[in-house]
Amino acid sequence: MSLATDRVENDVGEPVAARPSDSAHSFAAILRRPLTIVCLAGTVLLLAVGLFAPLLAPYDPNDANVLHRLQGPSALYWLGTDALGRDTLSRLLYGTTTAVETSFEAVGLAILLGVPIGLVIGYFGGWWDRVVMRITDIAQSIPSLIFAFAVIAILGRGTGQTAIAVAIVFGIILLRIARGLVLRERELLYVDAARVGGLSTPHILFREILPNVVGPLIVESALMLGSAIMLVTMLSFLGLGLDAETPDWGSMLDDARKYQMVNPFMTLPPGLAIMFAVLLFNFSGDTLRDALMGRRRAVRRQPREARTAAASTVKPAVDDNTVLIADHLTVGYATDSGRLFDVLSDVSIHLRRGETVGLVGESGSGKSTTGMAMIGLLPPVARRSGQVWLGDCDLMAAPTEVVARKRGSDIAMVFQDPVGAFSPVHTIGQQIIEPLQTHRGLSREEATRRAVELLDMVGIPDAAKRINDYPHQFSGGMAQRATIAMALSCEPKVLIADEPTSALDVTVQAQVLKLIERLSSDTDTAVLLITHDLGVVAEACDRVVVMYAGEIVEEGRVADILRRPRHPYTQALLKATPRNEAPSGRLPTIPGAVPPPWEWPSGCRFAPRCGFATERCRAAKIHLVDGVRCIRADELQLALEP
Amino acid sequence: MTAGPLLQVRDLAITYRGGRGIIPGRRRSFEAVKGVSFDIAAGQGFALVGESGSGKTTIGRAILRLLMPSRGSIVFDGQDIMAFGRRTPLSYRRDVQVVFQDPRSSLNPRRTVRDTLTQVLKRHFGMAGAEATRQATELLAQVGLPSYHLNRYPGELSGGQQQRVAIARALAPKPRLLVCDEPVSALDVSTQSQILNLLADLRRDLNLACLFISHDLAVVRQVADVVAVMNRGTIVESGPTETLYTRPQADYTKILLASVPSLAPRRRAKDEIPGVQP
Repeated sequence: MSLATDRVENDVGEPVAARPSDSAHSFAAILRRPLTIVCLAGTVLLLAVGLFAPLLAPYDPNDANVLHRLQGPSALYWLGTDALGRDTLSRLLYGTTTAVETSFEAVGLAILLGVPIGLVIGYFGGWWDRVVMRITDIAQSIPSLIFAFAVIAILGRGTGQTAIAVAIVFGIILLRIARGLVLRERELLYVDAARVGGLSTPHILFREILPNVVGPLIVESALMLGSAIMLVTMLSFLGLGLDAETPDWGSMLDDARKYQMVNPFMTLPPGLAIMFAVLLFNFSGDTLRDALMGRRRAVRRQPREARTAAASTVKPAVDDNTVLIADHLTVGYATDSGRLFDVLSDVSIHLRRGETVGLVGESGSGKSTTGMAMIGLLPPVARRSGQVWLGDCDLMAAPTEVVARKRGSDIAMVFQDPVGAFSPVHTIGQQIIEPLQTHRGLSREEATRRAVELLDMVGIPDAAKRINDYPHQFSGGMAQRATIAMALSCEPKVLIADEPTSALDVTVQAQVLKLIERLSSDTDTAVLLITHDLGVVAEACDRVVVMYAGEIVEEGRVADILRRPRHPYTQALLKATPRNEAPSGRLPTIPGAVPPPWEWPSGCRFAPRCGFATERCRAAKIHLVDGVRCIRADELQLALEP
Repeated sequence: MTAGPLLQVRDLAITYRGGRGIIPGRRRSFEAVKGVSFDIAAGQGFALVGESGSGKTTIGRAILRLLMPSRGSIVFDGQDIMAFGRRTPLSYRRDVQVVFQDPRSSLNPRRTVRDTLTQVLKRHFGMAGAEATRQATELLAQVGLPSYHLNRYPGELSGGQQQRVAIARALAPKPRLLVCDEPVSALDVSTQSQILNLLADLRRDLNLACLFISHDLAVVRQVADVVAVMNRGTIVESGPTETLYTRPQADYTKILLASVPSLAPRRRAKDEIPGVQP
């Protein structure tokens, strides 16, 4: 599992963020970056100066020598002296102690204050939540500096008081963040499971939920250190923060301002110190965020030429009825360490006019990646070869604008989650009408009329009225019909439907499948129906393509394959599909699970789970011959009992 | 212990109060469950079947005391669980456990399998250290996972393995009733049958009563002794599984059963010539 630490692939074919257990790995990678090293070194230096200022400073910071007042840098006073003749370097070093101390105190106090309250009110909700949130609303409506003034006015001046004032300002921010994170987290089932498990509420809050929200809180706190220095120095610059005895950067800057005509150099040491300290803390915060929450790296598009191997860009000869051809499609990803692995190997699929083709397989089989490739929506980082021919256009090689134009006009897609496919802030009507106006150049009235027609066609009752509804006012089944209507609005030649009924109830599923069936016969649309459910295939498809571990293992007519599967995987899948039959002992299963792409065997990829596998199966790559990728296909009698 | 049913639900109604408006009086409420009654006997497999919005999950959450019913009674082994007050006794938490639909979100991503299991063992039996680890290993063996999974995080496991861990966690306090809320609908068909077989074995070996909550009629037929069909917050029909599947009485049950996809191919390929046997 060495590669497992890099990145894994989700159903849609996009690399998903590294898992929690991978943080050690990504942390090491981040540690190697030059900026990180500079930040770390700078932070260590700052903390060391803060800690050992008494040892480093050549003079006592309050040791006034009026004979040497307002001097420039000299061998005696490296950074000059101030109006009372105090050594600027010593004051700067002691000022570091003050800055580091107050900012750490303030942020530490803010964490202790804000996080527990945020966790508790977020978890319990109700009246306490409302009361606390209104108070924080009021507090946040006051500028933080003014708020700090008020606190200092009440508590008086001094290091501790300043830290408390800043802590309250930041504590409120952390409280709101913690509350927001908990609100999201408490909806997750593991919290319910912990409650059912009888775990105590403090345990659930601090041992179950807190570790899951601590990342963003740490990052926010680290960034606050920089702001805390700013706020503390600002307060003392205004003469409000610390008492006059304590050397600190803010009051040094204030002094320098008064005498800038006499000794302009005085402003530089405190000014630069503030700037570097704040920058350092902010960069460190960013580095922490990268380490804890995954690096947000810019997606580097591979140049077109590199993305598609220019092997054979000749469109294969097909009959006129074939509208979409995926030809020798291979898709892969590179890990951070530069290793390549394929998630799709040499997939070829033809779609003919008016035909519905089912694409089935378990999760991890590559069926969704195939769908995304066929509509030109592979993530930019994907390495790819092969062609997808829509008419005479190769979607894999064509410029992005051309592919975007084809999408929505010649080829359309329907996703699993119908409500998520719509923008929640626009009416269903708007979202169907606008593409009609842009893609087809219809006027607003024509487009509206067409939209009503479409909604009516997919079986939405009272379409003229419901066109003004928002997506949340539609039920799941209605919303899925509406997405199909939207997909059909520009009369595409090809519709790619990725698990269109998996989120729907059985009764609604039956209706949506009927709709898809009617569609292909009435409008001659070619449909690629991606599903994990062979029942759906039996119900709605003409042909079926069975995928396993990124390869097509069997393809053919539904009637043939469901009655007489030739690949052991198809047979196993069929047997495992629950049927509406009286139970007869144990359910047939397929042992194990689909291996991740980096663990695919070099021979037959199904061999480790196959009951018929021999040494010969594992020896070398198996080819798709006569619609089946199995060297024992002819000798095995896999027909299912009726 | 009483001789009656393990779980007795009578005239249960559950109302969701609508969004928190600024003005407290103007809440819209929605009655998700409207007077439902059923019994589950010790060791029985009972299924609530229905479409989304039928109220089946809501009933499960009420039994798990994750929400409070507005009316009716739930009696577990002779004790009225609505009389518990704010705190749920630990004994009830031991007796009634849950397996949720989505194994990915039902396990804490920051906890190893070992932590997930041992904290339940610690809470209920005061087990710690080597004793808890030994028990956790045994639980994993019970759900068919080798012990090296103890140190893994949920993210390192497949969906089926995650669901096995969730089942192991539910079994840890030695429950008498297991609420299975769509236990397999997030899994691949091949894994589905592995988990269903496992649940069947566990029920037999541990004499565990199960409340299956599912929308999948084909799955329910394989696992339940008694089925209740729900629609819009009420039970429209209930009875022994085979009776209900072979001789459904309510129209709604008939519609549901007719909607289950069969594996018999319905369409012909376009190039198939009528009359010619494929």
